Amino acid sequence: MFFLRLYLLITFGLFCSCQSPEAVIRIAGSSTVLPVIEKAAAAYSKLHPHIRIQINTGGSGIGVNQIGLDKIDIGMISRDISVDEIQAFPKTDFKTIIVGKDAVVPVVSNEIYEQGLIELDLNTIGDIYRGKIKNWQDLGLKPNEILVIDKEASRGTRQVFMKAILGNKNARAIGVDLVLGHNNEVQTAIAQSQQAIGMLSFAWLSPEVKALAIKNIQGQSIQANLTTIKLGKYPIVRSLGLLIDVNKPLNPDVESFLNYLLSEAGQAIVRELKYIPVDA
Amino acid sequence: MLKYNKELGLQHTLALSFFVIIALPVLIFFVLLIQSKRAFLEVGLGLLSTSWFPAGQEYGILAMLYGSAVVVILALAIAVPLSLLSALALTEFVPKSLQLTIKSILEILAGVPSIIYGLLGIVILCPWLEQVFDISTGRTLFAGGLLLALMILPMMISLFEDVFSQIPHEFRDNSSSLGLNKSQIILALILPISKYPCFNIILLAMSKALGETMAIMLVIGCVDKFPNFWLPLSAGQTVTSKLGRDLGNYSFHSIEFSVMIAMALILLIPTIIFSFVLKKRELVR
Repeated sequence: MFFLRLYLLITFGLFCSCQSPEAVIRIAGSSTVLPVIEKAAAAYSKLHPHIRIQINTGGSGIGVNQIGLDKIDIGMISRDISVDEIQAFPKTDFKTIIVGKDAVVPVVSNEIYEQGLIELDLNTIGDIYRGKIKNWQDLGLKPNEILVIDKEASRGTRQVFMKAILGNKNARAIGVDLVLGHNNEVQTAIAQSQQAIGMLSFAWLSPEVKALAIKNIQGQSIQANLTTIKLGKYPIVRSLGLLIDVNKPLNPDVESFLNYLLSEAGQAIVRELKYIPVDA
Repeated sequence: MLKYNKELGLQHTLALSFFVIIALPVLIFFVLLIQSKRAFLEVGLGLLSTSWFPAGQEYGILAMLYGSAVVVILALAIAVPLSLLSALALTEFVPKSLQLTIKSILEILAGVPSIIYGLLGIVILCPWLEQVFDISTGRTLFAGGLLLALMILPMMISLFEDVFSQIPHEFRDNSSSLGLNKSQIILALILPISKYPCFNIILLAMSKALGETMAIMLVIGCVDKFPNFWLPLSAGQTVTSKLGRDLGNYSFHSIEFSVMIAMALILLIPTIIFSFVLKKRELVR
């Protein structure tokens, strides 16, 4: 009898402790915007210790979905919201606040880069993803099967990249061998492999993951760097956006965090993480 | 009015628990059925295609079902003989002093979270497969099958060992006094007696393997296509991996969500069929 009462007390106690905490900002969405928000949230929490910021990733699609379902306060998105998504959530009035700019770069494994492939034009990349070019020897390198890495269909990075190389953000990429999610996963897979090509956000480049320059129609090779992105010369650029629902009254904590991100301190964080600040 | 004593209280508590346990799976089944109604009515036979492309209104789930089937069959093919033989070795040949140590290690292995297996898969298993088979990526259905086999092994060995060790020693003594040697005892006595418990254990392992999400999601390659050549050595997709990666991207009442729930419902079917068949044969014998 004692143990029964103890058990009931503990279970009841656990249920009671599940109350919603007072000041929480819930954020979820694109893995590209994630590093900025994480760093900004850490800095912001030091200034405002009573506010907790919960951050999840999952992709731009998750960001849109969760705002539509009213599960989060801010959605992270690295592409434009689509008409279907707006129609899927009629009660939500989406507003995007841009906190930075980023480029999507085609990346190849180190071994491929060192063999001399440092630039490609968008058409060729498109052919690789369509499955028309299957082997690196077709591009003049040592014979090796191309490992084509794609991302999940709802990821902002993928939609922006596909729009640039295949003309349609929802295009089916038939020649794909591997589908990954987070920018992190793509980075790992490219670094692990010796024959891979994939798409990555510019800020996620590393010594083991090399970006290709893009050859445009005039034959000029455009490397992705801060200058070319700022001047708009690099063809695959997108904005880092934060979604809120303006149908609901804006939480003052959320507004204050958004203002922080757009302030000098917030934009310094954007610059530090190798993204492009808004005013540039 | 009966006096409400401890006896009655216990009966009522047990009855309540019983009804909750029965109600839960039934409720789950009905919720899945209701959520997937839209998929079956609107997409219907379109589900039986190999092309998954929601942007083009194509909702073929065959690739995912095939992936789940291949991965589980592979896992069982590797794990069942291995675990049976290990359990037999553990009960019949390993000295008593080591038995407890080995059993404890198995229990620990069985408790390792599946994400750890997934990470080990990415870091160790997939690169190793790339080297051995000279393929461009190790993230394949084969890697998924191997990893699953690894995950269900400890649990299966532990359960088989429980079954075999519960056979009284007198039976073994009687058999050996009749002139049977060790392997004959195993084949003629131990395996036939424990036939139905063993099948139940295999069924349990199968349903555990069918439902494994986290580890499979990381090593399977997640390509929504029917694999072409060298079937297990190419990337594929399973039902659980698809649900794990993409379910959150679709809004609650959308058709894609409904098709995913339909996939989950179809995943339950093998387990239900096999358990009914097994129970019937067990009762009939």
